[in-house]
Formats: sequence, structure tokens, C-alpha cells
Amino acid sequence: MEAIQTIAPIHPAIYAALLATVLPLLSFLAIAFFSKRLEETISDKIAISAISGSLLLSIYIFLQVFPNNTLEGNWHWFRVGDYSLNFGVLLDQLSVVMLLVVSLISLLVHVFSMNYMKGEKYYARYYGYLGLFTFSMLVILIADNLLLLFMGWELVGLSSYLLIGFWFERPLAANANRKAFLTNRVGDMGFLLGLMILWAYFHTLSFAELSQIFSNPAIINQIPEVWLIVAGLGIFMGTVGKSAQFPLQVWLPDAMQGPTPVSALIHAATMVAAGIFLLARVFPLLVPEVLMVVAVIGAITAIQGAYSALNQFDIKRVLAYSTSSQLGYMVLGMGVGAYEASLFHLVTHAFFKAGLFLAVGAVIHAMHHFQYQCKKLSIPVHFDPQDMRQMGDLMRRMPLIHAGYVICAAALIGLPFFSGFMSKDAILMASWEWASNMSAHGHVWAWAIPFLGFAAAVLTAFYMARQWYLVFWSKSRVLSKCQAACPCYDNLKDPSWKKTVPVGILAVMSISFVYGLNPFDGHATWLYHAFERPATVLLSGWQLSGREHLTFIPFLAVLSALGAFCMLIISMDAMKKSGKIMCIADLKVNWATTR
Amino acid sequence: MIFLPLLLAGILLFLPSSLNHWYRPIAIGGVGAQFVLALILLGNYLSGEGAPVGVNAIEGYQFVQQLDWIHMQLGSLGQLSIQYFVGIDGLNISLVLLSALVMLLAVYGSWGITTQTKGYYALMLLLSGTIMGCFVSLDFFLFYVFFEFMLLPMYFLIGIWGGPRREYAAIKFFLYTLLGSVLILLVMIGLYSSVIDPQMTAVAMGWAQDFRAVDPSIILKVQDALANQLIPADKIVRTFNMVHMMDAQNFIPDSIFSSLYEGQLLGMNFRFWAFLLLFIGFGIKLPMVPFHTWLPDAHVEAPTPVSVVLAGILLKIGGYGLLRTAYAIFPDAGHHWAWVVGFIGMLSIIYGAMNALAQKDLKQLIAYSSISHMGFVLLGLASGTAEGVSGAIYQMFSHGLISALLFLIAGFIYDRTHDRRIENYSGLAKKLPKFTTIVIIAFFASLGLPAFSGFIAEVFVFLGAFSSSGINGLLPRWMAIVSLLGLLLGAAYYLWTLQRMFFGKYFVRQPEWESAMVDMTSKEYVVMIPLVIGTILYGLFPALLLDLINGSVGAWIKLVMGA
Repeated sequence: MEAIQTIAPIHPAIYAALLATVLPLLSFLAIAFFSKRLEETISDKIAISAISGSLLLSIYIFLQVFPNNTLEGNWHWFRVGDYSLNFGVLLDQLSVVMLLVVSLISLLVHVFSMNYMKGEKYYARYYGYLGLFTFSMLVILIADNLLLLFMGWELVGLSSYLLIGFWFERPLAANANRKAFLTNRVGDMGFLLGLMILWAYFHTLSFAELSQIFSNPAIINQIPEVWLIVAGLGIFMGTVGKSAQFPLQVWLPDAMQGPTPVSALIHAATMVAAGIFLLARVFPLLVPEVLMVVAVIGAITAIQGAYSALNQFDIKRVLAYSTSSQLGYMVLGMGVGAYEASLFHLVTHAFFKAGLFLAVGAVIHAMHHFQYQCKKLSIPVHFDPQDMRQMGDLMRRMPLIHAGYVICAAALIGLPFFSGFMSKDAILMASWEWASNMSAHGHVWAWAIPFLGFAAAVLTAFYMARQWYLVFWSKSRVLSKCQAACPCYDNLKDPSWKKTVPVGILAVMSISFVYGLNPFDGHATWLYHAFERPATVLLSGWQLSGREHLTFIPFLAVLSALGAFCMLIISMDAMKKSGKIMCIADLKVNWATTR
Repeated sequence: MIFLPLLLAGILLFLPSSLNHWYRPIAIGGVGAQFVLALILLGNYLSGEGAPVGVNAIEGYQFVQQLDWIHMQLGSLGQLSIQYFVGIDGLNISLVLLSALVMLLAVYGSWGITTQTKGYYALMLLLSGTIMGCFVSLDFFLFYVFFEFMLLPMYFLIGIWGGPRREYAAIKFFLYTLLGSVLILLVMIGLYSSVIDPQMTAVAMGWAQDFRAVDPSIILKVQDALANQLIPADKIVRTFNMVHMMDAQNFIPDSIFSSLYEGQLLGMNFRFWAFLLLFIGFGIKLPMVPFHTWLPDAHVEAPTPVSVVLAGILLKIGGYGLLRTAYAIFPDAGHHWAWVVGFIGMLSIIYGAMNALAQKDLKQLIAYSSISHMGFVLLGLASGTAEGVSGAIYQMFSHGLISALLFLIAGFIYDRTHDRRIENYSGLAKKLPKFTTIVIIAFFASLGLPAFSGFIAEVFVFLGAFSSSGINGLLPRWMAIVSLLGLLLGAAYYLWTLQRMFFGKYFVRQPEWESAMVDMTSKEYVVMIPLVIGTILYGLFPALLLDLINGSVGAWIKLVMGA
């Protein structure tokens, strides 16, 4: 492929981005071709060096671009008919921040997995798949046109498929990966439809050219509005599939059949967030009607996910539903025009949810070993190591993991001084303003959106309190079957640094001071200001939460903090007293008796 | 290139059976040489800005050989001219390359054939030569001869070396294809009576010494004279030359396929009928719903290498025929029927995929998936846009690679256990990890995953089919939208198959198959890896193929759409 007539000389950061993207792919190929001939354990070293390289390059790129720069470089890719398509890299604030987040979390997951996957038969294959995934994810981030993004988009689907089905001998896993891929395909059909419409009218798929076209009312007004709406809804369908939004959220809980570090990386922090990234990329293309649908779907998912999370016993499924619910917040945020807040939440969520998953992974691994040891000593214990009802008392046994878990959980619940509080409240405030604007124009129903958002926030506090209690606080159920001195407890302790350090780093990233000095105001953080909502003509005159009004509302912040906090106290209190709180129905009963 | 395999086939037949270990090397050498020639051809093929584009201009073809073959004076009926006229342009270059590659792999992959090897390899060589001839012929008569000759080896290959119901399958294949051929023959004869060769006519009129010396001004003169009926009947040289057929000026004014002819049959003019006949004729070959039922039968009974050739190359002749003859010669009828062609394309995509979902036999599933994928070719062609037609050509090429790989995969299992029922296997990934890797690559390539060639092809077809209503108004938008379902169904049947056969607990139905379950052998690598590399290469760098065909597709669009 020869480089032809790029206007400016290509900035070295562009090459750095390409290299950062290709490194994990090289690691995948190296592992695929050579791991058999080398020692099994060399694969993790290859993969970790590759991803470390990507992280270093991402830092370099970040420093080049971050303040207020945008870099673009492209090469001729192919020509079909009279139109050319370029293959290019677009580095703006959005992509460099995401590059950092993805490569950092990916590195942490790689390190964590060294311990988690130890002794697996297909250890090398696992690292190969991780490399493939990271590569495809980075393609999404640096792509400068929708076709390239779509290619990365499908490839993450493939790597997600391979990783969910990593233990392919389990029928459940083999079922879950098919379900995930097919559900995503439904969304992708919409995505492709969006591409078709854009191509039919504009003959370009490049973000830069599309946003130029869409900032020109003279062109846009000639296009039948219905096709703009269908295009927007189509692309949003892609998001609905990938980000597990209602009604395509069904695949995410099943996807928990994959190894837990994979759930942390792919099904919590990065791939599922690609849907939000996509919405941000095509934001200038979305018309008001589409945004309205986006907001409604986001709100439904937020509440639906939170409610479902209440009724799970599988420790990972709780987090899976929670992820779906939090992604609902981000989608809601995009729908009400809180572009910056939504992306801010995307970043904070990536850290604290990955932290939660890794902490939970450490717990599951420990429970697994406990059961294994018991069997070796022929103590009759049979339980599902992911069932929260069987856990308990782990606070004393795994204090470091517990500490990391608590910090990340506090961020998820949205307690002040933690990152989630700032970002979630920024979304909620924006939705509040949006609703008041909308209702002033006669759309009273719009108040349902912030209301659902608040309700979901309160439920979040409850399901996390429930999990925290069942896993770490409550009296142990299974564990009490053995004597205190039993050697089967050997593995029920804080694991090696390979697990605790990644959890620790993610926990640190969940503290609000990383983002800004004022722990109450999400708008005052540097990250929030990094993202700037693209100017869009489609929305002129539309009652968005405009930037000029988007302010910090202390009343709302206090309300949501208090709500979350009270819920936390109430549920913890109720659970302690009853000792067996299982789901929301139990809560009602127990609350009544405690009073 | 065409005749080398034919010649070798002849030699092979006369070899005594004591030299039977030479049959295979000779056959491989024949198709191997053909492949090398195809690569040399590709290397010398000009493309890009200013390169000749072919399609409807003789001087635009490359590597042309034009020789008089049969020339007869028919008195007052004029003169008959059949030429040996072959050439390459953007429409067939990719298919020439594809057939050379697939034939090589298929012949090499024939190690499973142990009976009557002499006949088998001779027929394979015959097939190889005729297929190549079919793709490069620019004379309709020559094309038709090759087209018919292809049937013969195929019939015997299925009928002799096939599975238990081989006679049934072979007869069915033969009858269906023959029906198609008859329809094509009808049109061909009609065309013959309608079209003159302006070059040869000029020679006959004494305006030039040799047909090669005829320049455009003389052609214009001939066409002018023809329109004014100034050429005496015995001087009219009728032709089968496809390139001349593409120029409306070469039609004799009162002949049935002339656009000026006013006669109608059942309320439709003859050009429309001609297109319809060609469409059905080539559609059977493609195959399109509802003329597709021969394909699964033929595939199930055919031995693996024959299936590979059938799916990888033979089906493409249907698409190529539509491209080269039906659309290029009857563009007006192409517009008229676009809706039908597009609809049948959509129907094939959906119906083929639905059927694939219901199959219990792995090979039958792949056969139905072929039907579904060839539907994209019809949809792309019908759109009449540069994206759609490029997509159709790309799809033919890409499907050639992928379906060949898929049938090799079915053959892999069949070689080991002589059973292809999906339900008889489970969890093969554990026992056959390398094979499973290839299967995953092939399945995902076939379901249109990016980074594989099928994705590029299908995306172009969708872009083209959807844009069509805005550019030329041929296809309504819902056709493209409904066809999107094909992507979902495609993923569904492949992933379901993966889940049933390769994931889960390891299990095979018969205990004695246990020992047969050995992973990839080096021979199998040799046939499968080139296809894997090909589909990835053409998936990542579409320019490799698009640059070859862009010019010709542009000329084709100009010819057919008149823009």
C-alpha cells in the first residue's frame, strides 16, 4: 500500500498508534505459530511485552495529542467505482484517552491472568486470544472511518466469541458464545444498514468528511429525514447489541461463562464500552428523534439491569447485569446530550468495574481451590464456587482483595470521594436539566428519564451492598464445614502480587482525586473537560442540556449521595440482622421486622 | 493455457496401465502449469489509469487471440463466421486466476481417489481446460462449446466416483444444466441471426483487406450502411462474436433481437425474452432459487475434489455468463428485469440460509450456504452500480476460495469416518485442535467476518444494492434491507454447527471412528492453507482485486446503464 498525497507530513504519533495497535496482533501471531515449539509459559511473556509496548506508545501518543490537538493520517486503501476509501488513523481527545484506558486495563488483565490461568491446558491460546482482542479493540479506537471501525467491531466480536467459549468443552460456554455472537449480529445488521444509508447519500464513511457534511445544513436538508433517522437508529442498534442494551442485553450475563479476567477486560471495561465510543464518534450524525430513542433505551436498560442484578446468586452475573445497567447510564447520557459526562463515566466505569471483576475473580479462584483442596482431603463439600450464598467471611481472609473491592464498589454505588459519584451525577444532572427543558416544551414524560436514573442508582447501592455482605461480611456457610486449622484454607488468603497489584491499581483509579480536586463536582475534572461535544447542526434548537446551562447542582449531588448511602446502610443493617438476605423480596420482609 | 490440460488429458488416456503411478503427477503438472501461466498472465495484465478496459471494445482486451475458425458462405443467408476469439479483461481475470488455483488444489487434493485413476485424472484435466476456455471465450459459439463440454466430465466425475446415490445426482445435474443450456442455445441462435460482424462484413464488402486492418471509421461506415439496408444479403457476415453483440449498431435492423424490431411474443419484445432465457439458463448454473435443487444432491454424492471444483468454479460460470452475455448484450432488458433478478437474489440469500439451518449433513449445509452466497452475486448484478457489480465479482472470487475450503473441510471428516452427519460428532475441538482452527477460520470467513474476503464482497453488494434506488432506480431499498437478514442467518447456521460438532464434550457415534480421528496431515495443510491465506489476503487488501477490475466494471456500467 503506497502512501499517496497526504496533505501534511504524517505525525510520528500516527505511526506510534499503528504500532501500538499491531503489537498485540503480532503477539497473537507469534503465539499462534511458535508457542508449541517453545515452552508454554513463554506466551505470557510475549503477550505482556507486547501490551506493555502498546501502553508506552499510548502514553507517548497521549502526550502528543492531549491538550488540544487532533492528528490524522491516512493512506489509500482501495477504490471501488468512482470512490476511494482510505485507511487511516484519527487521534483526537476521545481516542487517546481510550487508548490509554484500554491498554492499561489490558495490561493489568494480562498480569492478573498469569496467576488466574496458571495450569490451564490452553494457557498459550488464552494469551493469543487476548492479543487478538486487544488488537481489534485498538482498531476501533484509532479508525478514522466507519468501515474500518466496523471491521474492528466485528473482530472484537470474534475474539469475544473465542474467549467466552474458551472452555469449549462446557456445553454452557459453547451455548453462551453462540448467543453472544448472534445477538451482536442483530445489532450489527442495523449498523450495516446505517453504513449503507450514509454511503448511498454521501459516498464517504470517513468521520472527518461526514461531520463536515453534517455541519452543512444545505446538504443535510436535502436528504429525506426519515433516512437520517433510520441511519441513526441503525448505528444505534450496533450500540444496543455491543453494549448490551435493552432489548439485546440478554447475551451479557451468559457471557460470564468465559474466564473472569476476560469478563473484566471485554465484558465490563472495553468491548461493551465500544458501543458508547461509537455513539460518541457518530454524535454529529444523530438527529433529535434518534437521541430521544437513545435516552429512553438507556434509561430502560439502567433500571432493568439494576433490578435484574438484585436477583442473582451467581457472583459474576450480578456484575454483568450491573455492567449492562451502567452502560445504560452512558447511553442515557448520550441521549440527553451529556456527551462529556457519558464519556467520563465510560472511563471511570472501565476502571472500577474491571477492578470489581478482578477482585471477584480472585474470590472465585480462591473458592475453587478451597473446593479442590477439600476434595483432596476427602471432605465432602460440593458447591458452585461462583454462588454467593456459599461465600462469606472473606473480609478476614482476603483483606487486600477486600479493600480493593470496597473502593471499587463504592465508586460503582456512587459514594462521594469516589470516581463513580462524579461521573454518574454528571449524567443524572444533565438528564435532569434535559427533562426540565423538555417538559417546558410539553414533553412531560421526559421526567421519567432522570427518575429512572435515580431509581437505578438507589438499586445499585442495594445490589452492591448485598454482594458485599454475602461475599465478604456474612458468616461463612460452606467454609464453616471444615475445622479452622484445616489445610483446605491454605488458598483462602490474599493471592500473589500478580492479582493484588492490578486490583490495587484499578482501585486507585476509582478514587475521585485522580480526576479532580473537588470530589463532589464531576464537571471540574480534567477528564470531563478533555471531551468536547462536537458542534452539531442537527440539534440546533433542540432542548439538549446545553453546555451553557450544564452546571453542578448541589441539591442533586447531595440527593443521590444520600440516597445511595441510606440504601447502603439500610440494606447492610437489614442483612446483618436477618443473616440471610437473598433478594429484594426478602428485603421488604426484613425491613419490616427490624422496624 | 486451455489446451495444455486438454492435450495432457489425451496423452493420459493412451498411457498403459503399467504407468499408473504417472497419472497423478502428469495431472498435477498440467494444472500446475496452468496455474503458473495464470500467474504470468496476472503479472502482465495492465490495470489502473489509462489501461485498456475491454468489455465492449475489442482493442480493450488483453492477451487476445482471434483466429477464424469456421467461415461459410451461405449464399443469400449471408456468411457465417465463428472465431476462435479469446481475451482477458477485468470481468474474467479474477475468475481465470481463481479457476487455475482451485483446479490445482482440487487435483492435488485427489489422493482419495484410488479407482480408475486414469479416467479420473483425464476427466479432471478435461474439465480444467474447458472451464478455462469458458471464462476466456469472447465468441458465443466457442463459449457455448466449452460450456457444454464442461458438463461431460462433470457428469462422469459424479456418476462414477460419487457416493451411493451418484447416478441419481449425476442425472439430475445433467438434466438441470442441459435445460439451462438449451435456453442459452435458443438465444445464441437468435443472436446469430441478428448480429453482423462489422469487421468481416467490411472485408466482404471489399472495404478492407483483412479484418485486423479495419479501423473505426470503416466500422462506422458498415454500421451506417447496415442501418440503411445497403449491404446485400450475401455480403452480411453473421457472427457469434460477443463483443460485436454488445454494440446495438451491429444488429440487423429487422432481426428479432434488434431494438428496432417491433414483433412481440406474449406481449413482450424478444430482447426481454432473450434476457429472461439467459437469466434462467445461467441462473440454473448459479444456482438460484427455485432452480437450485440439483446442487445439494450433486454435492452430497460428488467426491471431495469434484465438490471443490463444482462449488469453487462451476457455479461462477452462471454469474459470469450473466455479466458477460445477458447484461452486456441486452442492457435494456437488464433494466426491465432488474427487479426480478434482485428479488431472486434476495430470495436465494434468505431461502438458502434458512435451508442451511435445517440440514443435518455437513456437506448439504455447505451446499445450501453456497446457494445463499451466490444470491449476493445476483443482488449485486441487479443493482447496476459500480459497488454492486464489483461486489458481485468479488463475491464470485471470494466464494470460490471459501467454498473450496469448506468442501475440503467436509471431505476431511468424510475421509476419516465416511459419515458427515452433524449429530454424530461433538467436541471435536479437543481431539482435532488444528483442524478446528481451520474450520473456525473457514466458517467465520464464510459468514462474512471482516478481514476475510467475503466481508468485502458482501458489504459492496449491500452498499450497491442500497444505493441503486438513488442512482438508477433499479432496486427498491427494502431488498437490500431484507437481504441483511442473510448475514444473521449465516452466522446462525455456522455457529450452531460449530457448537454442535466442535464444542462440548468429545463424542463420536461409532467406537471404531475413534482411531480415525487424527489431526491435519501435511497433504491437507497443502490444500487448505493457500485458501486460508487467499481469503485473508483479499479480505485485508481489496485493492489487489479491485484495481484489476475497476476499469472494466466502469466500462460495463457505462455500457449497461448507458451513463
